[in-house]
Amino acid sequence: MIFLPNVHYVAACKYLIRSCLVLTIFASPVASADTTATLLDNTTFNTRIEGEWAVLTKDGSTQKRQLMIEPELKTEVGNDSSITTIVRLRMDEKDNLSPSDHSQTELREFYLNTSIKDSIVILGKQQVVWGKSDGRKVLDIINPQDFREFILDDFDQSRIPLWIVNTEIPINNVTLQLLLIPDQTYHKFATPGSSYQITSPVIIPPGPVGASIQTKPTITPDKILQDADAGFRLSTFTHGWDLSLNYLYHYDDTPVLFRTINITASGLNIDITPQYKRTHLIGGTFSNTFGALTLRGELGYLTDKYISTTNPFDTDGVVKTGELKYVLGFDWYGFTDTLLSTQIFQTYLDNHKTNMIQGQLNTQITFLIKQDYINKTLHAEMLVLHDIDYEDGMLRLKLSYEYNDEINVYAGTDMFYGNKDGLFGQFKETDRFVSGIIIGF
Amino acid sequence: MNTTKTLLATLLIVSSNTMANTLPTGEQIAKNINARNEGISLSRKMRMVLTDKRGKERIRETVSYRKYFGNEKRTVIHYLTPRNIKKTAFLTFDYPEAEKDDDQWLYLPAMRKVRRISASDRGDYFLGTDFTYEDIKKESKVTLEDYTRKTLREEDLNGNPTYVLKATPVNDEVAEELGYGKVIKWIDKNIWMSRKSEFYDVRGKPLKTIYTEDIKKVDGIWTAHRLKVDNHKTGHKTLFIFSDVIYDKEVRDDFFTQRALRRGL
Repeated sequence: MIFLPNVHYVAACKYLIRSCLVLTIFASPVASADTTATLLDNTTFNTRIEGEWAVLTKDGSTQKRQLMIEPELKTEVGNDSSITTIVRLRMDEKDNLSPSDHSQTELREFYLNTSIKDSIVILGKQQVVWGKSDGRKVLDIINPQDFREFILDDFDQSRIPLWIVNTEIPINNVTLQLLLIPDQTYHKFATPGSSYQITSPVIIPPGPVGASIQTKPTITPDKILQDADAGFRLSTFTHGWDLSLNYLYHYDDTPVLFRTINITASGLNIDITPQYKRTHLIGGTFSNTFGALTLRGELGYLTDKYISTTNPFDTDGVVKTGELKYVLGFDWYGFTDTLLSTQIFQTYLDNHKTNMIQGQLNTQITFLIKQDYINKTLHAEMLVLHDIDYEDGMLRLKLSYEYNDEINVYAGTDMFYGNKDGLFGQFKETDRFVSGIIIGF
Repeated sequence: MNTTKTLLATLLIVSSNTMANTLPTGEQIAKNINARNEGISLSRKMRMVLTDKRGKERIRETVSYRKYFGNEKRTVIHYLTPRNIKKTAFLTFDYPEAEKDDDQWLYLPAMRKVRRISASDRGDYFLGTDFTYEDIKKESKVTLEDYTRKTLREEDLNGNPTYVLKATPVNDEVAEELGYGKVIKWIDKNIWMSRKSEFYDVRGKPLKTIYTEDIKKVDGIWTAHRLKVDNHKTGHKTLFIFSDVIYDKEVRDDFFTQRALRRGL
């Protein structure tokens, strides 16, 4: 049975929770009743509650039964400033996605959004999104990602917010965005033994047969300012084109797996030392429309990418290379309430050596159809991601229905296919049906 | 007797010709509609009530701004409620040159990205309402190049003197793009605003009727405060209620930027 909250009940709950949160966050013992009343008047409160149930198609077992609650509080401060607080509470009854982590309580976002003259300043824990692509990332790498569910979670949900000083300064027809990121948080990969633990040899190099492999503690940058990431984006709209130039000096969110081989009396010992390494990212984006077609693209070049090699004579087990990534997307709006979208996504390593675990050129294509029905209350979506080189991929089907302004229900399927060594094919045993309900108020 | 008949016939022909001559042409009426003062800038709140055929309502609250930059009209709409659509924002640059496609962007908070969208989907319905993107963009104005217009008659509509205008898309391609095969409009003779518009689909079947209500002067400009649409095909209804309408207050230029879409209100 679905619980359908009535309007008055929801309103009463909203007021009560909002009051508690405002008092908890802002009120101090010396705050006057007037101050508290003003804070309450200037505060809006929203909550998103999502219950999701996933069942594996291979045996009908429950992969995930999760409840996620995200209260969001926004307090207006003065004429042109606000403080946003988003908290996440997540409980998963099953152990399959993060065996050691049944529940999670997290300050998800907390930032001051203000303006100084014409510039916008956003200070605090936040998400910053660059790029134009869907489903795959080229420039959208400011925030690391939680791969607990591989790439099946919405990016908005799986991005890990960071403490960032984010400024946007208009200069004539150009906007300059400056970022300083003194937060050393990196990708969070699925834990060993979980459904989406990465095992593909495209990512994790296989060790020699019979070797004893030990993984050493990860070397992580720890100096707040010296190890901070920094970057800028220049963006403009001119002659029908949206253009941007992006630069980021940062630590790659995936650690480099440095290898040391020791031959001892007991045999071959291999030590793997994961270490985060810095790189420059330079790139840009563009988009324009031509009739019913929107053309969009982004390109990024990483100067210092380290790719593992299976060459036993390589001293540290990795090869340094530059990596060029780009995506070219075409969105077709020619049919009513329908979006047809396709993308080509390529990665090219400019210093490719034999035995590197990745090929010099990798090509993936995506295809998306979205259709809306019944005044955009019913949405149907099909997404295919296909890797041409590894001949594997992913198919997602989703049907969602807005029952009313507060309640959205959905059902769908996530299927993987192809080569088991591929990025997608490695998860072909985790095909699943998913259903869920989102209550927002 | 024959002389009397001839006289009567002559009188009828003369009077009907005179009436036809006094009716302004469709193009004149369209030009008058477009010449109507809308102010340089506008800010307003809007409550959208979307009602399906079973009577279930969905309600959205928005704030919108519109400003002319020369002859180029820029409009931005920010959604404030409900939670599932909050922070969604829509920006459009409407260019005066007929041959130049408009530019449109949609900010979707779930993606945290501003998405460039094609302006040729102008016949698509705008975010679940019964208004198309074109209806939203043009507001009370019309695109001269899309239709040929004919003035049918004068008619009193609920006490308001109107010209009844028939607008037909210039060709099948435009008709398909707009989603309309024919539009009949009741244009108020005194204020050059449509009080009622009947839309027919490309097969000539009744599609929807838009009623413009609660028209009153704000800052000296005739302003509709209620727009009601009955969709005859789906039974769906849309009601827009405007409030806090202010003309020519300072609306900052940077409200009409992608930066402002991302930041929200």
